[in-house]
Amino acid sequence: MNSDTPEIAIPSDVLQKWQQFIDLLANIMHVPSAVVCKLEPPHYTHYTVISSSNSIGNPFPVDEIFSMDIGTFCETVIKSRAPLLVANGLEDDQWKSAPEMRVGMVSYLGFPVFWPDKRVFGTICVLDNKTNRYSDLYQEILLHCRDVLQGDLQTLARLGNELDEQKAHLSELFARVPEAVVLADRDCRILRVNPGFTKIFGFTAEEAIGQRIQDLITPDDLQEEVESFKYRMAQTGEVFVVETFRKHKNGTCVPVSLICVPVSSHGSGDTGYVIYRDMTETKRLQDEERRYHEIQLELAHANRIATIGQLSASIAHELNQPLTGILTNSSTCLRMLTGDPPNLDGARETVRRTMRDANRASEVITRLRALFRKREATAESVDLNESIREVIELSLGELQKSRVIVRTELADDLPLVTGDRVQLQQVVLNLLLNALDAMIGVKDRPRQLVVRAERRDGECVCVSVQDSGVGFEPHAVDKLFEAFYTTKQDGMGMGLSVSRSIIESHHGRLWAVPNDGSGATFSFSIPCRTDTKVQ
Amino acid sequence: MKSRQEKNAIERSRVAVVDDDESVRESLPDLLREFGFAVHAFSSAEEFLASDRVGETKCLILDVAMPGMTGLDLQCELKSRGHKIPIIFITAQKDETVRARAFEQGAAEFLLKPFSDTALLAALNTALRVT
Repeated sequence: MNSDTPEIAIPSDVLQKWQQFIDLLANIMHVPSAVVCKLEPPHYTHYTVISSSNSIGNPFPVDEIFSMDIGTFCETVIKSRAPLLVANGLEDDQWKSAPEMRVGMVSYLGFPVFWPDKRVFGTICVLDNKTNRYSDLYQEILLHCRDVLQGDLQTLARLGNELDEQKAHLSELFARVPEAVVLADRDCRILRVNPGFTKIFGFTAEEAIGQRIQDLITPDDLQEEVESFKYRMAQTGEVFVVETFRKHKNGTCVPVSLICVPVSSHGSGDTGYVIYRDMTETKRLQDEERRYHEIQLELAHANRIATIGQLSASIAHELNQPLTGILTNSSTCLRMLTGDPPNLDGARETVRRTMRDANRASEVITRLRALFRKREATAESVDLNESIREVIELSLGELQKSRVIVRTELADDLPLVTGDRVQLQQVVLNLLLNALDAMIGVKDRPRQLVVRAERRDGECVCVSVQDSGVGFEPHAVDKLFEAFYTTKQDGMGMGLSVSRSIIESHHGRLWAVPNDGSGATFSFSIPCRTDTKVQ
Repeated sequence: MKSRQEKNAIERSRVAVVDDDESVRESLPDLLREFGFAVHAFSSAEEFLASDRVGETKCLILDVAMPGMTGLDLQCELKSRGHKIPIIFITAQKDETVRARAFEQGAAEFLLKPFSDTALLAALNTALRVT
């Protein structure tokens, strides 16, 4: 016999069915005792009565144990793996001292019962207190009962194998999953942990088992969280996921994604699995990406400030040179023409120079445009809501300093657009700072800024920035977007011009309207999901 | 005619223009001649210093930002050489510290480009009165 094979317990519903069988058998065959015996692993030194008929005069109670070396009928059947029929043991020298004789059971008919792998499970037998030759029909009935038992064992063995396989898979999963898995009872006392737990939190299974989770890995300031988890697990029995922090044995903080899985054995939510995923690396990557983006944005912001300061100086220089020529030549020309006699040749020469200098000034502007167009634009999917929020966050200092109240109306279902996120954010930033500048002098009403993002006409995303500032004259609307047009003392008049070229390179448009009340609204719209590349 | 009166007032005064920008070097002397001055133009401070015009120059119209010696450098250099030529600075770049330094070092006037003919004439009057 193979003692390595794990024992399969006979479930109660099967035992119940066998009991009914045995009762029926004793009844049909008119015998006081019908019994099913089971050879007991792992040593197979005894067998146990597991079913015994409820019939008058049956001397064998369930659970009675028989040693395998006392010479019972069943012992013989088990050892010989063969059926046995004894009509009357008292008349047979081999059987007259068998233990059954002492309880009055003198005749016996029994069959061995086998597992599907041919190991002996035990016996099924009937016993009588008088001579009984057990007709062929009775033998056939008993044999048939034996086959039913073996059929049940086959089913059990198959289920057992499947179960073993599942258990093995689960054990492997438990051992190999990188997440920390903890099985805990109602009080969060740890019953089991996997190697992942040791890897993430530093505690070995020996150190962890028996401890309460909150005493081991919950930071002091998050103890209340555990109470709420316990309540949630016990009350709802639902699985839930929480992003939080736990602490390593060495005291360091571990960002985790925590999954609570209440397990209802026997219908009660007494135990539960808690699974912790180490988010350190994910968080680090997220932070890095966020930081990278912040730096980009800060650069864009710094750029604008630097642009106004430095570029205006160099542009002023570049433009003022030819303008000096123009002005001086014109003055000279006028003087030459009004002289007596007029100096026409000189005047002609000064006009020629004036024209040349004017061309030079225009070239400066052309070069300037090229400069602003120089940066390589990228085409990525941009969530304008998120981009707007970032710009507002970045400008919060300036907004608060200027005592401006910002309200956002960002549509939840805003589609993505394709474009250069930093460029688009620069536009939003320009509009925001322009709005801010427009409200600096406002004293008699709240300085209010509304930033909206919504879907328009199904295919466009429209972003608008509405201020309660000084607004603009309706006739100035065409000039607003021209380079070098400015109403500000230290402005350069580049912001809106650059913004417009950015929006146009995104196949969109930028426009402004005076508000019904005070202030103005600047808006841009760009198509969503453009597949064409940004120029 | 106003220009004639002006001519009479400051007849034959010799003015030097030092500017690296060609259009200024072309246009400004013509205007100054219209005012009645005798003018010489130089494209750099070094060129002016090397010329034999330094001694006879009654007024210097000087660009601030130039490659090599700047206008302020030239102002210092002239001072150290003992030349007390009144200087009218002209610049395309607004810079208060430069302006303040120029006046500290004795500049007669400081003009932002572009400037009008009347502003230039007023500056010249101031500069020549200083002498």
